[in-house]
Amino acid sequence: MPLADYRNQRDSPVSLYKTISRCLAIIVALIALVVLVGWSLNIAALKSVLPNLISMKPNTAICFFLIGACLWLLRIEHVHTRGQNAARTIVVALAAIVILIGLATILEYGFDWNLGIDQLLFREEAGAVGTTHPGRMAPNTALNFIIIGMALVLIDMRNRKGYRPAQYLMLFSGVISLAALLGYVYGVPRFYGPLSSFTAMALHTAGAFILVFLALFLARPEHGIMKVIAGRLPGSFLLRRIGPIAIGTTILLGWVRLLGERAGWYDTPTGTALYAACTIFVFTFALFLISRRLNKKEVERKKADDEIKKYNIELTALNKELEAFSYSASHDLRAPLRGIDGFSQALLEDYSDKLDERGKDYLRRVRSATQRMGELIDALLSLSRMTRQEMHLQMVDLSDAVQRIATELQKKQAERRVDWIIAEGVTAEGDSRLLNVVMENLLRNAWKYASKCPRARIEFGTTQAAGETAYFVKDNGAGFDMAYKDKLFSPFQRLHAGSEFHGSGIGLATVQRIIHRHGGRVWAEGEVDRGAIFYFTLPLTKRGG
Amino acid sequence: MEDIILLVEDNPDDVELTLRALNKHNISNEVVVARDGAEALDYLFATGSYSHRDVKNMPAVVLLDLKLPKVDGMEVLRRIRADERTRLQPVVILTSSKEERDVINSYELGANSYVRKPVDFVQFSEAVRNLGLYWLILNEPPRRQ
Repeated sequence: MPLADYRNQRDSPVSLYKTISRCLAIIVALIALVVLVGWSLNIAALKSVLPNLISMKPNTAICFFLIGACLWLLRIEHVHTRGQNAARTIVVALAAIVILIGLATILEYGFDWNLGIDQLLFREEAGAVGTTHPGRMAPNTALNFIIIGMALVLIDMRNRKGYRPAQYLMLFSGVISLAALLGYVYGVPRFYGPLSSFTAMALHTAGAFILVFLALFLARPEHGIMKVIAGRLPGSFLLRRIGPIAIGTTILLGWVRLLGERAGWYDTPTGTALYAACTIFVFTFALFLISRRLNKKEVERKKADDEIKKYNIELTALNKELEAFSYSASHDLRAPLRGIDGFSQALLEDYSDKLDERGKDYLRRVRSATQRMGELIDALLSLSRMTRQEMHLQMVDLSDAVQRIATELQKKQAERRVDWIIAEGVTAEGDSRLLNVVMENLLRNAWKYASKCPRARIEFGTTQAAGETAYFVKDNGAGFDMAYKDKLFSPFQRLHAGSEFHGSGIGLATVQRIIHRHGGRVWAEGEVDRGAIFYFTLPLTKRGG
Repeated sequence: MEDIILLVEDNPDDVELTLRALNKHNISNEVVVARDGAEALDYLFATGSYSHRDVKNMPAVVLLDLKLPKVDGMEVLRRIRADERTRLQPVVILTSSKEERDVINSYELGANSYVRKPVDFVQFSEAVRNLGLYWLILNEPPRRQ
């Protein structure tokens, strides 16, 4: 009976956040381009949004464009290919340019220099709104660019405790950007132009900074601070819903309150009281709805947990039954076999003169069938034992196990010449005893089916399959017809005659059971008379050897 | 005083095969067969249908199967070891079971040996022969004078 999957993948917005981050990168770059178009075609609306507002300077637009490009190039977190490596180098270069522009501007302000960078591309007329030095970006804008540039370079760096410096840099930048934006919303020029003797930050610059802030955090939704925001646990769920409401409501209500006060509808005390009342109402209502939803989710989770507990109890009971069955099977199934075998032999011995050759042959067949049945019972019992035993996980040295088994096999049949190619240092996480059984079965098979080969060759190593590490045992022996590959792992299904290769047909079924218990996959490729390769994965291993 | 073998076995086929194997290898000692645990205890302690027997006349070896009706093999072994008169009785567990816990438990309860009955009759016959030769000829039973 299938278990309800309560681990709701939809709960985690990780992939959504990454997509948003990429979109924001593009939007920021587009804003920058639009502004630059405004400068080149001298369209005031594109430069300043509204007539009385400060324009976004050309250098600012350039920096935003470079930042957008960097954010786009940083969308791939783990660098594997040379192309990706090159992208990272470009990011560092572009970020360096952004930092330099910011730094140069700060120096210009600080030492009253003119490095000639402000009017490099376009000229701004003197006396433009809020601009003390034509074409030069605001000092807080410049500072922001320095911080953001550094954050872009350091984005994937973390210290030993797992903290990400880039995130803390961005928080600082976020304060600057948010202050500027609030300054515009509430009409507090000091917030976007802290140093009144210098240019102030433009409105769309502040907006673009906020977008960059979001884009950078959303680009790495699984690390540092973002773990709490983008996680699957109840707290994160709560934060994601109450956060935007809290921020949005506060800003909006504050704006409405100021609006009314400035329009003379009410005075400051009344305005404050109204603001407080509205805020309390909105927050309480929102929190109430969200908490109710959270409680419902918790109830669902508890139900799923209880289901699991119930299944666990059932499973344990089933296992006990199986154990009891195996025990009595080992006794009861074998006893009659001995009778059949023994009395057939007794007939052969004591009544040989009364039996013709065919009669004796029949009795011999009876005996051999009995022995085969005994082997099968033993094999089945040991297979069931494999699945019942508790697993003790640890790091297992597979190379070492293979080496030992190879030596043993070679010792038993010293006259066979086999080339062993065993990869060194291959380790994996799993139950040591069970994994040994796996390697024994696979290697014994390889040994057995390559026995007819004059120059047998058995190989063990690792490879990549569908993004994960796969271990393989390869031989150049009898192989098998791929058409029957699905039967390979079924118990007792054999693809070769028992007369050709002796076996119980349980080895691969055992291997499959054990690998499945480890959560892995097992499969095979082969060609008749050319050999076979058996692969398996062990996903419990965090870093495959 | 001839050495007696007490064979405690409920499966008549196995009894037949064991007797035959002993015969074939010229082990002609008297074999007493008990079909269940209760009968075995009756014999050893000279009670019930065996009350005419002399308890001090201990068999040279008891071949004891584990799964028996009425009183099972482990219990028989326990009682043998618990009684002063039979405490030293050589007991060989002769059973189909390969289960580890049966082996361990048997030794814990004081069995002298544990032999798993082979499925293959030739091997079974060999095993019986070896047991007979060892316990009847090579081994010295604990005889009190």
